Amino acid sequence: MAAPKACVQCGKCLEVCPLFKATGREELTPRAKFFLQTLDPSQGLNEKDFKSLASLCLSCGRCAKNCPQNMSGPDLVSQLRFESGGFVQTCWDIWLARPGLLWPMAAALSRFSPESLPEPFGSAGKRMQALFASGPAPWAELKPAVHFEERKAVLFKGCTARYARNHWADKAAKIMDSMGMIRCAEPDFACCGSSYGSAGLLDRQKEVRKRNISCWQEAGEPMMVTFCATCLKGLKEYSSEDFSGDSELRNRWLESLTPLSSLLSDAEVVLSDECPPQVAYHKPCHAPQDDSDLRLVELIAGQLLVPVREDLCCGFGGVMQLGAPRLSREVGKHCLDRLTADLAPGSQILTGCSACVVQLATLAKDEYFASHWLDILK
Amino acid sequence: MKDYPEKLSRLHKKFLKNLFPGNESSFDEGALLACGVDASREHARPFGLVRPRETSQIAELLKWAAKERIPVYPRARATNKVGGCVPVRHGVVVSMLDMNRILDVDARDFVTEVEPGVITADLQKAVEAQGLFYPPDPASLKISTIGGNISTCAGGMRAVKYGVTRDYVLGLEAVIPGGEIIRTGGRTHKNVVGLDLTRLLVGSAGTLGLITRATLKLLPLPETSASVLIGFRDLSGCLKGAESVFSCGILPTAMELMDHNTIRALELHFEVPWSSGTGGLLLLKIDGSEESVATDLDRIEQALAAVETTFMEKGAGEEQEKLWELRRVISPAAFNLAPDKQGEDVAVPRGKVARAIEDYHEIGTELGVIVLCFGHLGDGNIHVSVMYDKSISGQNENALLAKKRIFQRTLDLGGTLSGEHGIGLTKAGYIRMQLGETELRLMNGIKRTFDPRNIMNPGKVV
Repeated sequence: MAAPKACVQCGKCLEVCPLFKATGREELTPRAKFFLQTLDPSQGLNEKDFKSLASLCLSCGRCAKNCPQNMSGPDLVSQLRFESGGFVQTCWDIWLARPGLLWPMAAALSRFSPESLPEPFGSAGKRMQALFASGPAPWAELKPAVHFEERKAVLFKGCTARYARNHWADKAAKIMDSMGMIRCAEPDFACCGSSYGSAGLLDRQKEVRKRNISCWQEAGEPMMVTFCATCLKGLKEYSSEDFSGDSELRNRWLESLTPLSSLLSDAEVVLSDECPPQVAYHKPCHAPQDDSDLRLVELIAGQLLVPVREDLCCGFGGVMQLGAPRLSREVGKHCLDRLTADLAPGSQILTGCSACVVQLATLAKDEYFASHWLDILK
Repeated sequence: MKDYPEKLSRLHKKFLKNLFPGNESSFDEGALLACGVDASREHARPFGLVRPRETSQIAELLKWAAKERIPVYPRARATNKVGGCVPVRHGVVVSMLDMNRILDVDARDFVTEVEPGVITADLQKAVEAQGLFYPPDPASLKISTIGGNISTCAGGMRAVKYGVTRDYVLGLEAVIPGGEIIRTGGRTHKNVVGLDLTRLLVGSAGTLGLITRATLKLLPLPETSASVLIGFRDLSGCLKGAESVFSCGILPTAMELMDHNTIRALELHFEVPWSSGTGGLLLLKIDGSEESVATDLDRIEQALAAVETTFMEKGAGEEQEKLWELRRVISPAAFNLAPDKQGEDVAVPRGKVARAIEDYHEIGTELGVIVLCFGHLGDGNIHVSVMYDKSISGQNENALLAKKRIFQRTLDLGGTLSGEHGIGLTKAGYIRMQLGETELRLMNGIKRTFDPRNIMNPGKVV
């Protein structure tokens, strides 16, 4: 990516910023934050207020893709969060560092929470249930056309599948086996680092990146299969510094990253009678331009798939779950209202990002099921 | 006359909070600062921000504002480049973003009725779904709103064939200072009753009243369109190419020019499709039926055969958008040449474009600043960007000098200081170069009739 220049207040970020689209609040736009950053405290906000306002960012990265000046809202926020630290970051750090222990505990406790709890506790309860929820009844079977001979591969499960939605990992492993991949013993991977980065926990991000690279090397540099768009983006963003400047190693790493859906584009699809009346695909903000998850959902759902909107963010926003849950929910509802505008009751919303699944499942009305595309596979 | 207040009193705030409950009003520092800047990068801090949902709220607001002499600054997406929405006298910013409904699209009347906060591209999509066409297409169309486009009489690239925003506004509803609601024009495409208040309000930059609803003219959607990007060795080749196209009897939908400095800025911005040695570009669009577009394309190619070209790329359907994206990113890409920009959008009679551009380049050379010319060759509206580095001693002064000389040269050629951006704050000091005392007196009289206490967008020049 080219080096950032300076914000010229052109407003192209307003076209895509999900916070602005959902709230209409100009002060939440990247344009406003870059402007406020240029003001000295005598004219503008004091440092604390500026950081707290600028931190209200979902780190979706849409502004950065649309900015003619290569400015990135998430990079600004990540740096600010890194410089300021604070209680919310610490909580997020702990939450990501001990998922095996904390996530099931929080889910269990959430069952005792009355519905009427004030925010953020109210939606946190629902969210914890969504994190561990089971998927809909499977209604599609895939028979992969691709077959590998002697190809070593490893599944990068991501935190959600590793600690909550284990069945995604089981299904992905089964698909890999059916394609003849030789699956390595599961390395002790950590978080992909994406969530740490957006929360400004940059030291922690470096630590997990190093660990993941070394696990991958110890496993013999196998093909690294992913099924979460955010994990894939997080893994692709490892910098040359993370590889101690070894550009060949970094290239091999990048080449090894393979979305599971990209291996299934020629698969044979068999649908069962349980298929829903309609399917909507939610394109994650972190999905690559050429989104193989979308192509797979098109292959599976065919005529059931309603026209795909590429301009909606689910509003998950990582650390925003702790820092500004109401705002996250407002964006999520804005997204769901549009995703389900013409959707028949009983329809399913499929996506390819773990965080999007959790957010959409938390906020979707009972008549719709939001899930990962892996959920619908037998 | 009573001075503008130096701050809002407790009673003022109470009034605003009652009229604009919940998140319809804000006095939060971050929100106030953020709504005090626009694409000119000039800024000021208002005392309050309100977000009306109904015309009746605006009527109440302007009744109160006139009585209390509180400045009122209409605002939408703030993409204008002349400081048009900067609240220089503080007061209250009125964000029209929540009045964003398309109220009616009528394929029999060829008319649409909209609220001002509708995004122009969204309106275009909505009418196109019914086989209709709203042609004005300012470069900001995916961001800017109909209300903003009307207030500034936004132009665009299709102006050469289809005209500008003014040509599509049939009627308006607006609230004037004191709170009265006026309705000008109507749904008919012809209307000669009374003075044309609709045209007066279009381009008045929020200085006469606050537009709350617009009735816009629509056309049938052309069946198809195609675009051609043509490279030439230099500017004179480029202008010869343009003459050849016009002389073969075709009026393109759009005809955009890019000079050698624009080409350099784009080359530094991303990978470009043209070959090296290209010193001037023409970007053309034609529309019509499948047959007429194919015929026109052939005729354009034949007409250009007599001119030396370095490159040609054609595009149809969605494909042509990538060609137009090149045009849309020029403004930000210009910063690849120097960190500071002074952008003008002068217009000269079409036959004087070549002379004007040569003179503008000469002014740049004389003063040691980079002058970049691009824009609407088809209608003589040339965007002239003076790129400079204010950290280098003397550059700031030379950029200002260049601006004045460019304006003078433009007027000498029978042109105007601004084709579409307006005067606002950044060109306020130059208006007397173009307008005479009598004309200014008449305009000031009109302003006083609408707004005797000068509360609408004060501090600006239209």
